[in-house]
Amino acid sequence: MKKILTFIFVVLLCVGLCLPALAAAPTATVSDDLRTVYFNETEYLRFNAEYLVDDTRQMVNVKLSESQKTEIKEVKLYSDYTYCVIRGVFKYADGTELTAYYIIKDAYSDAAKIINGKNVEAVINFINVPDLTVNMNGLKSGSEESFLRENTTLTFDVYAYAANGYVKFKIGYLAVYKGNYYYCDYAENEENSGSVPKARLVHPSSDLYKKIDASVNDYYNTGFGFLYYDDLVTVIAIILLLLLFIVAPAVIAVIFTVLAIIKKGTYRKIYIVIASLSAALLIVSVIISVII
Amino acid sequence: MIRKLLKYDFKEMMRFWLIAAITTAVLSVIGCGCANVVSCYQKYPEAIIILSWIFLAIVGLSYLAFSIVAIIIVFARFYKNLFTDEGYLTFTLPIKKITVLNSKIISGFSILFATSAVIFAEICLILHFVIIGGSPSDSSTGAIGIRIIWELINALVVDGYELAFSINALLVFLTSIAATLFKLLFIYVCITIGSIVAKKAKVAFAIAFYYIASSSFGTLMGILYTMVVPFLVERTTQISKGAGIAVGVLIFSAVFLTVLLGCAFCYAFLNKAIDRKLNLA
Repeated sequence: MKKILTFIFVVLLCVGLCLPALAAAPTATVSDDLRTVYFNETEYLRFNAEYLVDDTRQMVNVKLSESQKTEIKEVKLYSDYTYCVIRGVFKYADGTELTAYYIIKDAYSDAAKIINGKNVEAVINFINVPDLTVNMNGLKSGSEESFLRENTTLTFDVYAYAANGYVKFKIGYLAVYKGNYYYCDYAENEENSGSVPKARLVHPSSDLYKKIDASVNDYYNTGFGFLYYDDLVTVIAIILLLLLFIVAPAVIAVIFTVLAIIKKGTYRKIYIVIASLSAALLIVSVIISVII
Repeated sequence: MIRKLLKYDFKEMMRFWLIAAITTAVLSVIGCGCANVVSCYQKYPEAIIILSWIFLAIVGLSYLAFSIVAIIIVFARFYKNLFTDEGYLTFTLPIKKITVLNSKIISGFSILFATSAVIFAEICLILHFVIIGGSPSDSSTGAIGIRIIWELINALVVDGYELAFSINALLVFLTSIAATLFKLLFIYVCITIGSIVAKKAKVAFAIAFYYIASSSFGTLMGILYTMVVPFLVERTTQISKGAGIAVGVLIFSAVFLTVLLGCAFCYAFLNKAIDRKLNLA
């Protein structure tokens, strides 16, 4: 019994050691006009939106007044090794709610998008040209007049999905320059490594543009789980996880606790071990499900 | 009494195991020279390089053979000592059946663990003699095996989360040990079921049962992997970095606990089966 208690203590200690990592989760705030994002912990990651455009690429202005600013409900940073997503919910005086998702790739101020606004739907674009060229597999920009400079108004990375639907590859990016759409393909530019990246003009009515645009939309719709629960596979995965790591350990823990109480001798010890392990697994699984 | 049981278990198994271990050790020592030759290929004639590669392939095959020999030794001992005529004598000893079972688990696990450790050490030894840059005076020579492993480990560490990484590394190590124990107990269960259910061809029945059980288990793991892992990855990428790493630690803990639970179930079953169902008459 002493050993089992020691084991449970060690498990709880491991869980306890993880909690500081949870507490250390970074946060971010945005300015009144939504164009500047500040990271509390990493001040160097402060960047400005050069342009604020709606989904038809027209300039718009979104500004929060002082009273509205106090009503910001949530500004939270989600991140992994590749992406940072800041999710801010802003409440206007007239009851309008605006949810902003700033998506920053590779820790660079690449592009951000505001979606789900009831009255306002806008796209915020962060332009940081040198970083974009660094992202392009180390391709170097040749001159000040080269493609993707300060006059570029909007860029999106374009992704292609692998057959299994889970792995996505960055295949290029779409840029809007003086009202025209350009597509820059990584594969084409890799052949001319070291030279200025080349992009080709694509007309909005062309099949290529539609394909690219759909790819961009797919990326934003599925990349961060907005429609995630519609997926049948996900539902099955959740059911499997619940059955295997919540329901099964709970049932096993109850059955073997009862058996441990009824039985005596050697088997009692074994039943206590099984019940303890199931209970520990149940606790860990519940904590995981609460976090994610 | 368990000490005496362990003594005779080890005595029986070590006879073959030691021969196999010494053979691989000798081959590894010669393999070190071959590794040195193939890494400085510009210094030697082509025929010597080819012979060295062939010998290194033989060394690799000897590791495979050593693993198979160790597995056969462990499971043959378990079957022979408990379920053949020799088993009749074993169970007439004035000891509890659980003590016999514990002895088999400890000795079997020790042999499998020692086999893995020996092979790992021998691979590190060979890697130690690989020369990068082609010159023995090159600064990159020496202890390359250890350095490669250490650099691989360092590459996985995320800055600022060394503690979480250390816990994960410890959990992975413990899980791999627990998984070895589970595999051992699972095969013991298969042998026990085969010996209890079948009247003839007990070994064949045990192998068939193992094949069916492991295939079913593999299918379940495949479904879990294709459905659950992408889901977990997708969900984990939506939370903060700190929380994601904490979830990673918890997932490793859950896997470790699940493997331990599997071990506990196999152990309970073996006890029940040997205690109640064994009929040597």
